[in-house]
Amino acid sequence: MMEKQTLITAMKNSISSVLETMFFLPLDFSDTDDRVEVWSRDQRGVVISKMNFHGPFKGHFIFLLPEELAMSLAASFMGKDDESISQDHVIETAKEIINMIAGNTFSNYDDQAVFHLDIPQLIHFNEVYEADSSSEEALSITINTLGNRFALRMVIINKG
Amino acid sequence: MAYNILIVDDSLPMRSVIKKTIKASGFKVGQIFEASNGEDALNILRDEWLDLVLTDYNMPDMNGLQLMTEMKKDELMKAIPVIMITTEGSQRRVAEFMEEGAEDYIKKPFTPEQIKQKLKCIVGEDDDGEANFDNGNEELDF
Repeated sequence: MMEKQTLITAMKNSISSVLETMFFLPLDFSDTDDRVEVWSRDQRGVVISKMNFHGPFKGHFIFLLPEELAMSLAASFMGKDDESISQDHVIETAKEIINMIAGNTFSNYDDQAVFHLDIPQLIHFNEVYEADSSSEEALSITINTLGNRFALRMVIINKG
Repeated sequence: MAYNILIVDDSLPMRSVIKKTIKASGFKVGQIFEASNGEDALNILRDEWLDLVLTDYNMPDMNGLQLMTEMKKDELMKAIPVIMITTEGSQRRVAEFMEEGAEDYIKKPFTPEQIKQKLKCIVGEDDDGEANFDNGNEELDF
């Protein structure tokens, strides 16, 4: 049976580890009741990646990243100028970030458990909440950085 | 001595980062080859002389473990050390990598220093950059 607070801590630690180690990004976790739903609906140009998982419980992660920030992260990650970054680079970087965050979330949560991660995919905004209809739990974290914000959402379909 | 390395990852940015990290680590590199999937990796392994393979675990069609299994079936490829790169850190998954023949694994996110230490450990290099072939790495004496 999953433990919600332990999972949130694991998600936050994973986000910090990935984005500080590989992207040198200063992070400020929002402690307001800032729902991802409200924030993301106001956004124009959000890169959204999704990654399914299954193991002791199953569900998916969704990573919402404003395009401007995604472009900057891709450039930083690849050691290139913003001008030489293509849309494919942006998409692949977003997928890689969700891959790293998901894997590290589970090893932070329980390093004895085996979770299987699917291949990350890019989705459209209207698909974000489609999969939620059958969910048992959804955990959202909003993070402020460099005058911008991004979010990670974990949707649990089956708590195990 | 410089080492030829194959990086296998379906993500172009991650291949680019690994390549950049290896170069920044100070490890002595000859040629660095890249493959975006297991099939391309096997083709490169058939055509080129490689000293080390760094492969992502989570890839479509053929994952890193399946690639390593294919390599172990081949007389020429089976001696090439494989380092598995993964985001997954479960003890059982790591044990599976090692049981199937990986020399080591690198957990993402990683730092240049971690990459350097892993590579040096695999090829048995001392801090002065000299290969140490007294520790069971004779097959690397190409």
